[in-house]
Amino acid sequence: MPSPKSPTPPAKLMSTKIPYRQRLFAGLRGKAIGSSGILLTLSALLCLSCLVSLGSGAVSIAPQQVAAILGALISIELPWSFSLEQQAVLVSIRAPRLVLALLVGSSLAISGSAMQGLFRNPLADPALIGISSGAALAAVAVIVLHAGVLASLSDVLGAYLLPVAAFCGGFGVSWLVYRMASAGDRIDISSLLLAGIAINALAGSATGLLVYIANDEQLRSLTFWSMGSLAGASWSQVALGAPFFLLNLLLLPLLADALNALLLGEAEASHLGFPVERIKTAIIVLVALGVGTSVALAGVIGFIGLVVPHLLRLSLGPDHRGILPGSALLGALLLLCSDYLARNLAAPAEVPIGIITGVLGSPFFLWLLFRQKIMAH
Amino acid sequence: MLTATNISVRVGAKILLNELSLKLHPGEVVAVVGPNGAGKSTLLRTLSGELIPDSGAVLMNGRPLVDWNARQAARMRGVLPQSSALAFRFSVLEVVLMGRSPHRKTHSHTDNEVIARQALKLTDTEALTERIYTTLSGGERQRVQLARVLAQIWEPCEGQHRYLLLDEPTSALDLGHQHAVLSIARHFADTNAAGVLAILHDLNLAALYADRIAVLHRGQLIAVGTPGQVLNSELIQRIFDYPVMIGSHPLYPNCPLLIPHIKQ
Repeated sequence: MPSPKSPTPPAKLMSTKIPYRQRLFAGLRGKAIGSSGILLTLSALLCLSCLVSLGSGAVSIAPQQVAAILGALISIELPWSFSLEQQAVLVSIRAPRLVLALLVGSSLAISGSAMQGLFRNPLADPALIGISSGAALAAVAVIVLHAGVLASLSDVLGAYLLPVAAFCGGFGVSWLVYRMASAGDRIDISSLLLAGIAINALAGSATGLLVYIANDEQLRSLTFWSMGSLAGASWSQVALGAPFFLLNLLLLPLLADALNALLLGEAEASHLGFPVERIKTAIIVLVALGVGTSVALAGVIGFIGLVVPHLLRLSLGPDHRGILPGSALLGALLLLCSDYLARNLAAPAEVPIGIITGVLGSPFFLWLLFRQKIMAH
Repeated sequence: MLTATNISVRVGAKILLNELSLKLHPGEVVAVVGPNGAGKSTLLRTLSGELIPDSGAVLMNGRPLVDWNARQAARMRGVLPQSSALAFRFSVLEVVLMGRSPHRKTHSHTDNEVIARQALKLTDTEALTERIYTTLSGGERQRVQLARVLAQIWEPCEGQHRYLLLDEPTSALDLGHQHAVLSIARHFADTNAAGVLAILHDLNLAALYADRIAVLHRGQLIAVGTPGQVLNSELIQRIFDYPVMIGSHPLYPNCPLLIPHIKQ
């Protein structure tokens, strides 16, 4: 009698469809250039734009002069001459601005990738958990209530009051959202999203109220927060933010495997041996650190965190081991280019950088949506 | 052996599992059946360590589940979800390689890829290797997920037995795919001395592929035994509240065959 318990190996059920690749970007993904190739190309482009960005502006500095000035800083003499004015502009104005642009851009983009992984949704954004709205609320409060309630604080912290307050506001609000989404020792991701929306709206109303009572001069300072700018960059600002940026940039890539597994689902990731709850907390804290610091030092700069990971997924695929470092590079590159445009489009005046990223970002985002619609058919 | 001893799970005042004990031996296939809401998924989630029981204990290879570190446990126990909501455009090979993530520290990438490809071959999905996961049909996705889970427990970990837990692996599949998935699981149990536990709704499928059937009803284990022992019309009729006849399979006389009536 044939036993029912040991059937022959599985029957052939092979589908006869022709192997299908993405129609768009078919050759680009993975094989043609390879992900390390793409990362190298991005690095090279980034170095190039650093040189261009350092050299351009009211006082022009040729690339070889840039090299000579940088060489002089570490006592290496190069054969190109430069003026003291050029040196001063480069060292104390353009270099800190460049470094800040790199840190903010890479941090925003890598945080965006991590949030999209955490929410398993390619449209997620760090702003979802209330960082930007919290930071904006605190910043607006500082600007509007500066002379009144907060006068004593302002004496202690001086020029740092604004960024410190923005950071605390961003971190505080995202902590609140996070606490509301936690039940016991678990974080419910859909509650996180809903709590984020509610708290964002609340912070938005409070900000609106403050804006309503603000005077003209205060309103002008407020635009900095709604549109972002790197104009105030200084070495002391860079030093203030660098530890937080570096934590964000160095630790998030270590979570790449876990983020990949999380895309399968939380239960699936824990079955694969990942400590899911600890990882979710780590991601939220690291993102809040990076984005909170960005908003504190450069205001609200939209679209970098949303668009950069998308753009990279088209060429690298969704694997976070490539996406996270790639986002850092591309985010830095995009923000640097946007800042270049912000400085030069209407020189000597400056266009707020948030406007540039918005103008470049929104049409791209719309194109993505339409492309998804087409792909779905 | 994967052993649940007197496990109870409560949510508020509602008792999902009540003093339930079950053993899963290496090399055997156990089907868990029962009406909707009987506690089947809760049992599977407790056995996988996703839920900690309010009382009682789950032991895997003689040690409490909570005492294994998460990565060690992952090398011994794979869980196939009912469906996976993967919305990002990973290739099939990348998805199966995720199953190898608990082994990334101990195996080279080349080794892991070889195993992933073998798992794809076993589940008859080799031809899909380069495809994008999100473009696959439901049946193809389920077999790719099975390949991922098999790749995860492909080789013995520290000489310990392995377990495969399947949560309604056939619920969204057509006839051919249902049998394909279960015969792969059966084959894996036979060739690797792995214990397989599958939640099934189709009692005839359970009778064909399982060594033992466990019947759950309102959080309690009503019966457990060979298909011939468990599948009797009185029990099935009582639990599912539906009239059935039990015959025997024309090809396999030891295998009961369930024939439902039309309820008047």
